[in-house]
Amino acid sequence: MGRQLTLYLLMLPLLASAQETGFVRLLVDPGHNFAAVVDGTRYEGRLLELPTGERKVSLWAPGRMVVDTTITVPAGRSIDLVIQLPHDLEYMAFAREEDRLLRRKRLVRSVPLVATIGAMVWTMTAIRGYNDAHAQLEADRAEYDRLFLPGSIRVLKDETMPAHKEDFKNARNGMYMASAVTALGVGATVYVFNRTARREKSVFDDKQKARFDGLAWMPSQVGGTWAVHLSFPLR
Amino acid sequence: MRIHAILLMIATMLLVACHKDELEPTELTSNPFDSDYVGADLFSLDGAVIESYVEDLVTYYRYRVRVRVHTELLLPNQVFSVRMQRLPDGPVTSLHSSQLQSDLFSVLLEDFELGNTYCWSFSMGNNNEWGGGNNVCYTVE
Repeated sequence: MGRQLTLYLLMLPLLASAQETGFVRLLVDPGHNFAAVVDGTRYEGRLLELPTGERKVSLWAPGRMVVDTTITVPAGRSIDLVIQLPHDLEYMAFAREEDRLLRRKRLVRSVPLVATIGAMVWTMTAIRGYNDAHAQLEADRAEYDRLFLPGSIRVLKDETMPAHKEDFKNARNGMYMASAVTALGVGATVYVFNRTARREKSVFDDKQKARFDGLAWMPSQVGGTWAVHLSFPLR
Repeated sequence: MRIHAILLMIATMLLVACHKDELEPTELTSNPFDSDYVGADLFSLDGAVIESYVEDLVTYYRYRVRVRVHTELLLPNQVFSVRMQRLPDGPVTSLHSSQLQSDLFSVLLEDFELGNTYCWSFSMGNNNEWGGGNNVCYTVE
């Protein structure tokens, strides 16, 4: 028994070399991120070394349909398998819907954001106007100290200063208004960003991937099917 | 919720930091040329001397009352006019600062009685417009 086993082990490399192989170069659209299953075994890469003869090949890429085909692998040679994987319509619909939701989310976020930026510009302008109005009042005060004509002082106090004081009040009210609008805008922006960020990301129920992943495991000896259902988020 | 509180606090701090006091024109009373002037007296009694003078061979006596103008309350080299009136209803006269050699000028008191107090109203001004001032009184002794 031991002698037979030793002989078998010595013959094993010779038996293995007797299995002839060929090469298959995969030229697939999309050019990357695709996967291949040959006769129930998953392969990676573009150049596959396969046993000669007829082989059942399945190809898949994210967002594409699974394509099944049969090839004949020649001994010691290389052949090209050129395949364009058709787009998965379900995935395209999903991607369109996601794109629509994304654009809607951006729009919903941009409205308060743009309004807030506008309000901030308004506030900065209002603050500058407020400061200018106050500087004018300070200039009036300095002018009061310099004047030496009672009539001019009377005009300054009775006409000029009240007018500038009214300008100052208006500028201050404008600044308060702009600040309040800005605060509301910031609050609304934060609220909208929080609200939209809470939305759960959509998960694509990729039936093609589920089917493709199942290919590497079936059929079993008992004829059963063991399929893995995986989904991947687009972002 | 916390970020809202922080934003509210920042906004409040900004508004408080930006706050500036208003200027109330009626509260401006420090200019001596302002008719609403409130502050230290612009004129004060510096002293009085009695002097005699002869008119038509008759000797008369009068008081020369010296009044000080507090030019330190004015801007440097400020020109001004002084309006004066003997109270209660004496004639109104005025003089210009160019007529003064110093901060002093005199008013003459010709009809007086011993023990009586005489008052004048002085106002600071320019261009025949009059601002702040005060009364100055002298009791003849």
